[in-house]
Amino acid sequence: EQRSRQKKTQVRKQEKVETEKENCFRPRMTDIEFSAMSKYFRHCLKKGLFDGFEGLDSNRLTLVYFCVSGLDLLSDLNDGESRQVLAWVRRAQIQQASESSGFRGSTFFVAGSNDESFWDVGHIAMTYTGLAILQICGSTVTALERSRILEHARRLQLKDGGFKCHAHENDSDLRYLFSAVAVCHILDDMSRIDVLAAEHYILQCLTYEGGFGLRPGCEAQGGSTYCGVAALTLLGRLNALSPAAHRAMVRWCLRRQVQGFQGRPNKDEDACYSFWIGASLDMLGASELADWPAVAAFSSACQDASGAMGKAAGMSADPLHAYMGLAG
Amino acid sequence: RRWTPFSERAEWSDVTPIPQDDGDNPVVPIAYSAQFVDTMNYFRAVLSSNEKSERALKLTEEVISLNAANYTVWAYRRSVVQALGRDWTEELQWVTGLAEENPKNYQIWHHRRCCLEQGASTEGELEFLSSFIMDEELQDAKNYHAFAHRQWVVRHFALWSQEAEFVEALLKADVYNNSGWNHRFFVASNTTDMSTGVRAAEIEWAVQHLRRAPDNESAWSFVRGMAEAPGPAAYPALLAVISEFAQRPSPSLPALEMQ
Repeated sequence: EQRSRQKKTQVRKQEKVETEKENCFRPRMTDIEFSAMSKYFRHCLKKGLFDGFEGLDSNRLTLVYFCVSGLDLLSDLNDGESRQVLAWVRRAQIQQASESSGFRGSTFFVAGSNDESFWDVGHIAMTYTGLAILQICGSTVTALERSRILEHARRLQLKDGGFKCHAHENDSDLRYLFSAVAVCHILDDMSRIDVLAAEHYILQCLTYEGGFGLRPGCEAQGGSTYCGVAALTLLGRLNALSPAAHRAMVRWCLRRQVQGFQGRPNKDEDACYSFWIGASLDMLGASELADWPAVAAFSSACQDASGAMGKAAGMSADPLHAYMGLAG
Repeated sequence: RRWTPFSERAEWSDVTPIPQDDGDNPVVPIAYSAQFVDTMNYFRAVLSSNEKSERALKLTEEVISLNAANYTVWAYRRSVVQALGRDWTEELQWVTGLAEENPKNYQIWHHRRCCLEQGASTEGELEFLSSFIMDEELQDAKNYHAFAHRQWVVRHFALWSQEAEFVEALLKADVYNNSGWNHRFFVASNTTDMSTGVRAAEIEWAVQHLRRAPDNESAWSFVRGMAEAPGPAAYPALLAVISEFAQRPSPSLPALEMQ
């Protein structure tokens, strides 16, 4: 589940056009709270997580992203750290000439191997994550890598417009579509994927409740709603939503606020939805309609002894919630 | 059961393990156990040689027990099952054993689907899903993957006949279960022409549950969704209910909104 929660800092930064509005409606946390969060991300980055996190081995790239982007949002990422991160992230990149390209979830496969392993393929969500990390750390890919990665994204698109996650898996949902669109956006080339088909798939995910589900027919949910709205925004096709659908989506997002935000009706609030729902509202141009002081109060309560956020009050911090709570 | 290092397993003596290279300064390092390192070293080896054998199959089970979220092991395991010509119904039974410990794991649910796609028997699949979802101990009454999988099963195999009863049982246990409401809407959308008559009947059904909990967002979203075509004015039963709940001393907010 952690692997699925990835963010597009770029989109957030684009939204900083509305910085003035944000300052009005989102009280900033104190410097003390900021520095505690910095410490937390830095600790995770350098020292890792506690024992027993082998189950996150395949998602290590996303954990790196949360820490790096968290530090970046706090304007506290230094050059030495960037370099260390880049050196490691390059090991997760598929560099051999092969059918696939992009990034792996970790250094699971031996980097730079000349063996053409059938199973050593890029994963679209990890490719997005890898590219985002590169960008934050001031790096980029070569022209050849860029071309190969775009081709890798193209090949993952299915007939229904959706995207599967990697070459050997036909599991498809809005997270992977968002990841693919984000990859094309970072690499500044939307021409390789079928944009119209992607748009069609996204709209199929609209539900009667007004949000987006993960696949056509699935329940509207905060994370998938973000993926749909963000993908349409990056495609420049947010106006594919009719005015009525747009209004219904804003309404659905606003109803997710209890104090913090919940992901679905009649479910518990969770710090990560501060981002998924908050960013969706931003992109829908309705951010000022939410009660941000209430969100700040909820987020405050989510901070554990380290100062970083957990999922809810009383729960220990983890990189995903620490980052999403901060980003929200 | 005591774990045996691979170096002590005679059946693996011909294989050279491939170590991971995390570099000199890894970030977000994970404190891998000796068992994890050893198992993954041998997994890398069979992936490199693309081995399809019984021992490889057993190895995937060990990898999965250490990291069920590894996105390579599942695809690889399926290719081994295929190559060995093993029974997909048995494979489905095997993965059922893992569901309880890993209820939120995307890959396990996807694996179920793959088994069924490959020809595993659907017998008992909906019953499994029902008991998984309704098991009070598991607390998975709103498990997103379970519902998404159920949607796929009923649609792919046209197994619609139990769904009305399933939703009733779900809402009886918790009328606020949004997943149940979404499922009912999904069933209606896929098995009817969603004509005004159908929608009116669905609204009438929903109103019973609305009366039990007039503040239930799930129920109001459902009736709003059903009434969308051609519009609330076409459903007098709905208008009556809105009016009734909006006029109570403590009015239902969703009803007020819909007025």
